[in-house]
Amino acid sequence: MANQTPTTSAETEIRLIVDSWAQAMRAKDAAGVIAHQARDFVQFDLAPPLQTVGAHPEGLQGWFATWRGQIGYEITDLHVIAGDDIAFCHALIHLTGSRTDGSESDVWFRNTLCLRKTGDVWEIAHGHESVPMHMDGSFRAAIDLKP
Amino acid sequence: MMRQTGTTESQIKALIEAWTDAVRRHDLPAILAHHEQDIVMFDVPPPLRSRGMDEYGKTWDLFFKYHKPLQAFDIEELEITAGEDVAFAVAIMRCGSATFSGPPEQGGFLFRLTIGLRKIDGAWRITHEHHSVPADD
Repeated sequence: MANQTPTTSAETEIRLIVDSWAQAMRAKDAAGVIAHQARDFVQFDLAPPLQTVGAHPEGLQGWFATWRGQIGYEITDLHVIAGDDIAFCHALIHLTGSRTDGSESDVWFRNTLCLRKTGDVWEIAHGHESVPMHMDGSFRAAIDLKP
Repeated sequence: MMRQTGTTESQIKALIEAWTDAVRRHDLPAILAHHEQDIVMFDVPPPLRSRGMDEYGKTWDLFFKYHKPLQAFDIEELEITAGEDVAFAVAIMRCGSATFSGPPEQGGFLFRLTIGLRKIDGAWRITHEHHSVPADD
């Protein structure tokens, strides 16, 4: 790497962004989630459609409304690869909590975030969240896998 | 904008195109040629995560059981964002055809792909891949 020192400080900045974003998810704070997104944010979500572009607060709020109380949204094994103004990170997220339909959720999924620095501010330009698909012909979502 | 354009993005695009070509030909050494030893892969089939070149290579052994040489592994959309020594690529891909769900589907299916790269000793290297389809449930 050309610049070890700036990369280290960039990594620290990005870990703070990811922490803040995850805290907004736990608190069901759609504005707090969107605050870290670039205007042209491209999302590959857990659920369809294949991709969305731009902020979708109504989608987030609708999903938040399916949870009773706070959402368990624990980020594990976060790896950050940061340059001076471009970065990406990946992690496994453990999603837990009670749903308004009475069910309990306990799912591990994969998360990749790609970031750009505009001025002094890191923005999330792209988010990719997924679970694997079973290869038994059913193509069911593999929501029972653990790391 | 400080972002580099032109040459850097062209280099990365060429690398990704060469990789997709290697996948279509089932040429494993060429598939692995531009990856770092500490690659972390999130693939469409389980497991949740594959770490390191041995595990990354195994994801392709599995893929080759479902994908026949020269079937589609094609870039439909590709956006590359590159800095001096870190870059990412966001793509919609088409995979054909007898993959996953049994009978061949005309035209295959679409999936999402995110690639993370670092420039090491003057060369771009892939350190992360995330392949997925949306979950219906």
